[in-house]
Amino acid sequence: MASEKKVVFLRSSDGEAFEVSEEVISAASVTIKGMIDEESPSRADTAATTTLAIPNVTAATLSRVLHYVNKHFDAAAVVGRPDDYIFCAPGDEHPLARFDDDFVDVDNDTLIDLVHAAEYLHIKKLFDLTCKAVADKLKGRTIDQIRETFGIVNDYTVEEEVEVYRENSWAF
Amino acid sequence: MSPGRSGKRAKKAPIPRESGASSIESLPDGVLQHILGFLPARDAVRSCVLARRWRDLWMFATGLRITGNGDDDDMNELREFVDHLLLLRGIAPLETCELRFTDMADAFSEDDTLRVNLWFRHAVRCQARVLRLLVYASDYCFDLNGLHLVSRHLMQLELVGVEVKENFLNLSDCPALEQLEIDNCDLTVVNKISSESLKRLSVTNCAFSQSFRTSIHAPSMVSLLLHDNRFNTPVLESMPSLMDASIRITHNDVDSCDNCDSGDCNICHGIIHSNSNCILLEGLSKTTNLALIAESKTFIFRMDLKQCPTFSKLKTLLLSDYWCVALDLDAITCILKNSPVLEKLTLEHFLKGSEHKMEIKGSYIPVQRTDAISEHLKIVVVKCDVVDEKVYRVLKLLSTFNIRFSFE
Repeated sequence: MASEKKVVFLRSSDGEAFEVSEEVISAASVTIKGMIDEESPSRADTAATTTLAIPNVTAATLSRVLHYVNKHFDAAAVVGRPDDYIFCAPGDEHPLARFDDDFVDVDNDTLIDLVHAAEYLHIKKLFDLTCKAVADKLKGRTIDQIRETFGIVNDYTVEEEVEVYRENSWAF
Repeated sequence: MSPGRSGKRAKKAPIPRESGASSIESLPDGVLQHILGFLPARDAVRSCVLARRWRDLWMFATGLRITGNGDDDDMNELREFVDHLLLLRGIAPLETCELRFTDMADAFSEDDTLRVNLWFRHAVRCQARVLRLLVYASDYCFDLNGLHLVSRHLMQLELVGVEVKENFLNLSDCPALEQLEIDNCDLTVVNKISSESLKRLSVTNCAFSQSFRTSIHAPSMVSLLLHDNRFNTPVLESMPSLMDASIRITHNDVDSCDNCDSGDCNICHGIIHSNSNCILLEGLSKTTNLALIAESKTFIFRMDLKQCPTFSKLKTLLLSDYWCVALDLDAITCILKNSPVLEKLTLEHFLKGSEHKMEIKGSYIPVQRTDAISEHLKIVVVKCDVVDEKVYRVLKLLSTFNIRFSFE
């Protein structure tokens, strides 16, 4: 069972190393799986553990990402099923729904960092979760509110803005 | 998306931030398009006025979410809006398309029905991978014409409140389709559901035919949920990869017979024995985890158990009901004897909605190896309101298999 215990270290852009099960991270991240596959021939006969540099992700973000990954992709830890019932019946809450809600209940900057990380690491579930969370922050807000919340500068000239509104009047 | 990945320009960081990279503007166009895809379509389009960069992003949003309530005024406006939207976005690929109509007071007009059908087909043309048509009305099913879908891209299809008009729901021209969820739909004319690729199927609150049995052909199925459907329980064809299955019967009109409780009378024979094999259990015989839940009087499980197959991989089994299976001694004996690797058995015997008061745990003590039941059986749980005579008989039966109980 030695293979199950295999771990890799991920080094964040600011130099902090995080330990994670190779199996779990490979299941979660297409990017890291690719890195591991590339590494594996050279490390097949050495006992040394691999350290992978993740230059685009800070320690703060990486630790959050790994928290998510361990919750969602570690088969041993996933207690996906309430009691004996085999499925979540329609209407029942997914067991990790609460975790997910809490996970993205963070400030805008942290959330955008997570989107970047999920995209870079190619973790589809996390990418969807975080993108949806950003969308939820846009939903039902006025244009001015969105600009303010996310610091978007309106670089249209007055004429252009009038033009864009006119062009898309069917949506307003 | 090559011209799009201009987010890296990081042109005008408007508000200085410590990290500098956290602004929404730092995200590449492809990511912003994905984010817009989670918004209702109208909100997504309106993002065009935010700033220059956002002007056309919505056209390539990876999701399209259209909602309405089917009122005449609402539909007129919605048609105007969606027609503009679809013409402008063209057939840019879609990941998800959701057409959702809630709180519908009246049925769609004929025109609106045609239009919504057209949008549905358009979404298929846009290579949607996830397609949802959700119609929530109390007394109306949406008339979906021609569900013969052809798409190499469709992976997940979800239908709510739809009347399927086809006798043969043939999904074989969607070779990537893995997940099908059908809720609250009228399937009364469907006599076959077929997909070679389907892995997960959930059919809930649907009406099947009263005169024949729908057969489900899905040889790649991994998990199956049939809950709270009405009329004739479908026949499951062989599903060798099936891992998880849950069958729950709550309505009184499922396989109902006014004459008998057991499916043994002539009236029942007409329905049941049109297929000489088991209805459900044969198809479920390769599951690892199985739940059979009956909240109303039904004979389907008990009848099926008379031709009990071997559950060669079954590890956890839940039998839950108040009437028939869980406390039927023959049924329990039959399943135990035909489940050589069973590890956990749960029997539930309490009325729906009530919190069971008692839980009795037992474990298998192989004092003398009996070849009668699985030697792997570790846990037996009996949940009930009271230990009445029926429960007592079950406990007694289980103890003959060397299962010893402790009381909590």
